[in-house]
Amino acid sequence: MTDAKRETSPKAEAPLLSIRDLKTHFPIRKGVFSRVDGHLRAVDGVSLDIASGRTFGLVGESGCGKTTLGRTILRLTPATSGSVVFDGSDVLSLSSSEMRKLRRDMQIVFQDPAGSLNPRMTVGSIVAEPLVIHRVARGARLRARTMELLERVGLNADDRLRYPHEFSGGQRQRIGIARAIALNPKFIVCDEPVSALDVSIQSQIINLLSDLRASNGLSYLFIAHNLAVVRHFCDDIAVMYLGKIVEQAPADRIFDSARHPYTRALLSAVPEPDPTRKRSRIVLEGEVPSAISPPTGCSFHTRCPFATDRCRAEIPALEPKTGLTNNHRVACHHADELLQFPTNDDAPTTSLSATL
Amino acid sequence: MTARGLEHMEIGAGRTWRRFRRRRGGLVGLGVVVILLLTAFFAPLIAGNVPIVCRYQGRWSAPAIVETFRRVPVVGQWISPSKPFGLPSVDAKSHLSQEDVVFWPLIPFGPTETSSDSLRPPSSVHWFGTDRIGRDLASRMVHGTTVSMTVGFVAMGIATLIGLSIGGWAGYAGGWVDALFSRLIEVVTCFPVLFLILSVTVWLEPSIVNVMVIIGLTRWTSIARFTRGEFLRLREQEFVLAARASGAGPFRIAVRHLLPNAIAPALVTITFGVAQAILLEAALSWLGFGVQQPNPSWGNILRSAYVQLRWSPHMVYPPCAAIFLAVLAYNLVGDALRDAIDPRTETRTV
Repeated sequence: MTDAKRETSPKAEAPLLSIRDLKTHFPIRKGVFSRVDGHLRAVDGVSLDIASGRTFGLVGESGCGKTTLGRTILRLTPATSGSVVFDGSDVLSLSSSEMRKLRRDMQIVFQDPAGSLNPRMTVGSIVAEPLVIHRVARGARLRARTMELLERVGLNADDRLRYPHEFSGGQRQRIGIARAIALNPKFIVCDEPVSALDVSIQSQIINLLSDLRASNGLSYLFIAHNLAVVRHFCDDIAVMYLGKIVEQAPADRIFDSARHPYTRALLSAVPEPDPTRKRSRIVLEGEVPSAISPPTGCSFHTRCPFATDRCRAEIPALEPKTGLTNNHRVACHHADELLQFPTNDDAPTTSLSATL
Repeated sequence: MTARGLEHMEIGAGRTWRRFRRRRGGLVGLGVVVILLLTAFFAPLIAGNVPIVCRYQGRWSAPAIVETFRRVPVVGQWISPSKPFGLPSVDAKSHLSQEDVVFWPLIPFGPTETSSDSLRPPSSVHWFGTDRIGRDLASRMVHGTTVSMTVGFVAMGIATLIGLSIGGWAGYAGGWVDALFSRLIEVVTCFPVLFLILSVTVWLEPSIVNVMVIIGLTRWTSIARFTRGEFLRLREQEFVLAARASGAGPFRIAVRHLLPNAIAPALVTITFGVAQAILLEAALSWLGFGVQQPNPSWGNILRSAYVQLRWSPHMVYPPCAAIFLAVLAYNLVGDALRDAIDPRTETRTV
């Protein structure tokens, strides 16, 4: 896995994918005349860069907008505002034929391996479909390429004649991956590709994605709701809460020196394999607020043990903080003060809020 | 939800057929439907005054077999009738003598062939008896089957084409397109088909083609409603998003991804629709707006039977039984198909 942690500086070249202040709001309609009654702010002002060859992990609870963000980048869901620049072209303003061409370079792997494969199509035609649409190959060459793709993801070439329901969850996810790499894309959105799988299968799929990254020079946006999954696989990690990124840093930094209270809460929820080690468990109170009427100020203040009046009034910017490296940014008014509190297991088993 | 919702789709045609087979009613219905379709197609070989095979003046010919294929739409018009007995208007019986070899159909009377034996009750010669102008009722029933089955299938074929297109378009596009088509579906659902056809025949010649077209143009609404619902449900599925991410256009998504998964509920409606169309054709022909004399149809046979009901009640039974049987058979098939496609009705095994 260490091959992933390349030492190239992300600033050396223009990023492969650059997102600026992206917003995706869904109108809520009510009544007979479908009057717009408000908006669900699924993605509410997200900016991030993914350099070529790097893997960007996106972590957050269910409903925080990470799936919508992934789909908006690929224009599967219309964006409300902001910009997505991929490989020099502005994804959100392309015509549909230009977009179709661009789709060769950006692909997606879905969470639900059963729902993302058409039950009425054979595995072969599912994997071959992108090649047919983009007229890359036909006839014998198409068949050869399909077989090659299936073997590349660890399936048998003969499996192309079978139907998705004949396969296990892990195998179906391999089919989904074969379809995603069919056109040799540069970038793949992995939308919780292992969340629906058994733990024993998860690592196999992660290893496959890792192999493909090395051999095909792929970049990933890897979406997960579990920090443990992304730890060794990603170069950079961003934590999302209610449609916004609250903390973003290189993978190691997130684990070693997380500054945002929400990130710390997530980290404390990662299972600890060693039962003798004591650690502090931060249990968040309450529910995630509704994205239809998000809280004023910092969206996390309703559940944050450190919230002050300033948090309730003023939206914190995602910015570098003192004592942190330049590429570590936190959206919290009190990030500097939180510096003194240890995140790691050496701390006694006291609640974090009690120490403050 | 996604996985569970599609569970019954994944099983495909093989499993549906296995479940269908367990339903006795459906199998009986399917058997009757197959017999009716075979009868409809091979009518000239079962009943007619055209020999199946004969040797006349030393030459062999198979006029009824040629006639069977001549009736196939489109292809049939390039086949010329076998000489000299290919056409029912030629009286083969009077030309063929003892020396000639002849295989007649099972019922050796043409559907429009008249005789002096009028209003005879059923006998070994005329199985179902004869009508007022001496035509063999059994032969007319066999040829009437062709009319009923053709109407059922062509009318529903037109309806299916319209229903799938409009329902699919509405469901896929959503928004104002959906609203527009949904209102259209509601309006057309309210059309009284029978009266519509009656009004149309005021301007147009009453003919079987008009009947089929009008049934087709008005009976697509339930197919459209089912297809729309399925498309609405399916278009949010991840495999559709995956196809869009691969660059598939709307047409490809609709035809390759949505339609094969949405066809099952429509198929059930289509089966019931065939039964409806058969019943409607019979009603129209009974009223005199459908198939015109002397061409036979179950409806107009019933009409002439009704006129003679007091004196010759034997004519009423065959068309009534045939209409009843055909409608029942299609409904049984539709019922069993619905149960076989939807595993939630599994509990009841007849």
